[in-house]
Amino acid sequence: MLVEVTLSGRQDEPWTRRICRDGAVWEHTNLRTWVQDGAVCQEHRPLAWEHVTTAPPEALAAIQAVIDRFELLSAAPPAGATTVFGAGVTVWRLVGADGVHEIRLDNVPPDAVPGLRELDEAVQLAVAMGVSPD
Amino acid sequence: MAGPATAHGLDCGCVSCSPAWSAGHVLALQRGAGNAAVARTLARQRTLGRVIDDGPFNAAREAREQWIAAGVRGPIDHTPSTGRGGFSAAYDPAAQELAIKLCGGVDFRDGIRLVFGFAIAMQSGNAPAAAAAQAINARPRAERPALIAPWVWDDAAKATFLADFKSAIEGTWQGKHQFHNSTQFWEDLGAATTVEVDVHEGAQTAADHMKVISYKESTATVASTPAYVGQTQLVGAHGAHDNVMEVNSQQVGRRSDILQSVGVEFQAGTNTLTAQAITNLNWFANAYKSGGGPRCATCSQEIKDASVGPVNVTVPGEGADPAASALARFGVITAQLVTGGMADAATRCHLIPGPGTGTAGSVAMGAGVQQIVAAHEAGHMFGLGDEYTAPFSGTGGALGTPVDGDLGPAQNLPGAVHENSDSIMSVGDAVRPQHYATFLEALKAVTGTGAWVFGPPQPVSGPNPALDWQGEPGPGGTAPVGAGTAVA
Repeated sequence: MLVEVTLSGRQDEPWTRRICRDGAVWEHTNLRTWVQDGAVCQEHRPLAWEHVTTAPPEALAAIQAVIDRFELLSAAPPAGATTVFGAGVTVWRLVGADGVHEIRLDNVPPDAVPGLRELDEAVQLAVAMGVSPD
Repeated sequence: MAGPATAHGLDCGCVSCSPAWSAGHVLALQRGAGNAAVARTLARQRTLGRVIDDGPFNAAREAREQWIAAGVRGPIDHTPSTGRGGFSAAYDPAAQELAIKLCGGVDFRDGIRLVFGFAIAMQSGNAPAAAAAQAINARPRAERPALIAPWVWDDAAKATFLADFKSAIEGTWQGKHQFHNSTQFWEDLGAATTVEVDVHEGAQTAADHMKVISYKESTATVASTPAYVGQTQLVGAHGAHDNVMEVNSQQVGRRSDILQSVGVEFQAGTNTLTAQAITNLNWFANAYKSGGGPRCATCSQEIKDASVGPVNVTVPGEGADPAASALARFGVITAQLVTGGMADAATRCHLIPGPGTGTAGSVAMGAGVQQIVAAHEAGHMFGLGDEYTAPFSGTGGALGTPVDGDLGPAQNLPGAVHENSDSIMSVGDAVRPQHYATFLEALKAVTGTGAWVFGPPQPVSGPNPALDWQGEPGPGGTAPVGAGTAVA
């Protein structure tokens, strides 16, 4: 595994996206989303893991670059971060040479840890590059 | 059991506990004993003073009139004692109106944008948007601008959001309960509560209590998306303007992801639930387990007027005696709810027979009205914490544990507990007495007096010898000697 993010505590089943070092993208979700007649459709389904795509090497490198640039393998929410009500729990798991590093945002603002927004975008771009037909 | 000395007006189980703020109690008294008897009951506590001397009454009424003549108090900014949120409050004694105002600047953000030609979800932690972006990226590049359109703001959508945000919060919160002054002979001075929301597009101004961030969502979104209220001050004490609220475009309408009611159906001609009905009832029973409700700290009795709504079971009957059939089916539903985990279903469920005859009905939490997330988040701006609990999780605490500590009891109101219910700070829509605790705080702050209590204005009787003489004048009391001492 390279990176994984889990969203929970938001009145729905947890949602997890995992990107492995070989580029494999997995999701644990109860959402089924598709495009039909020019519009995005979405419905609930039983919670399950599914293989989504394989991200290209350059996308994995971009993720690693964000992790390194913001030193996310040692990052943590600031002590005494202001309380947020209703934001739920976001857990990032990053794998480095010393093992798995977990960044747990338990009802603290999403921008509490610099670099996570950039990491989220890099992960989304990696998945996008994998699923894109052109 | 507590005695009269511990009566505190919470309509609980304490002996002689006078439910001063319970309109239902006063109505019952009036129906049972008549208006005159109610007036005598209310007046009796003040009889001794008036028999001896009507000076205190006259002085109090004059002071009341002078206090009213001093005009509107406030507005002031109020930071709730819970240390979260903020709003302004003003009191107009002539109109007997407490005006609560919540102001904010809205930062409209597109939910999905194209980055290097790829659709990217812009809100952190928004799983449905991330899933939608993924589905869009699986389509050819040329199709993506049109596919992301439902996640992009336009002027019409912004105007609709601002109007819906305002109406959702005002409609949910204002005019639900009243306060009145507790000073002797001022009890007819009330405070009806209005709530005004003033939001505009743009940056938070000095007058705004919050920055509102709103991501555009598609109506196709079926799952919960993030919504929260947070603090923006980095150091020091929280101020009334140090707030950020994140609430998305779909969250100014009633939510569809947490049901307040489920359907039930019986196999025709039987009292046997269908398999789907059993699934529905098991879900409902687990979701809406009782946390015990707000309880009196003195006698531990549940406080009826502050409790969650009943579980309303609407079920028709069949056959020669539909009423008996409906009653039997009600028993089956109640038993299934117990099996599903709602141990106290027998006492919480309320049968609503019909309509007509048939096999299908419903089970609803209270009125069964879905919550508007923006109205719930406004509750955080009013200083209140989350009441919901598992399986709806979030910031909810364990079932039955207190919410916001001493907030309610400090205002002589019940304290909220964690439980899934029809309450606004849980997963429902109902604004209950305990949810007005910070409004009562603000009323006391803006008027500079703590002499305010929950409940509608009370009648104040002038000195009336005919009423005063009850045959038991008490120590120092005298029998009435003629008329003419009453003051209107």
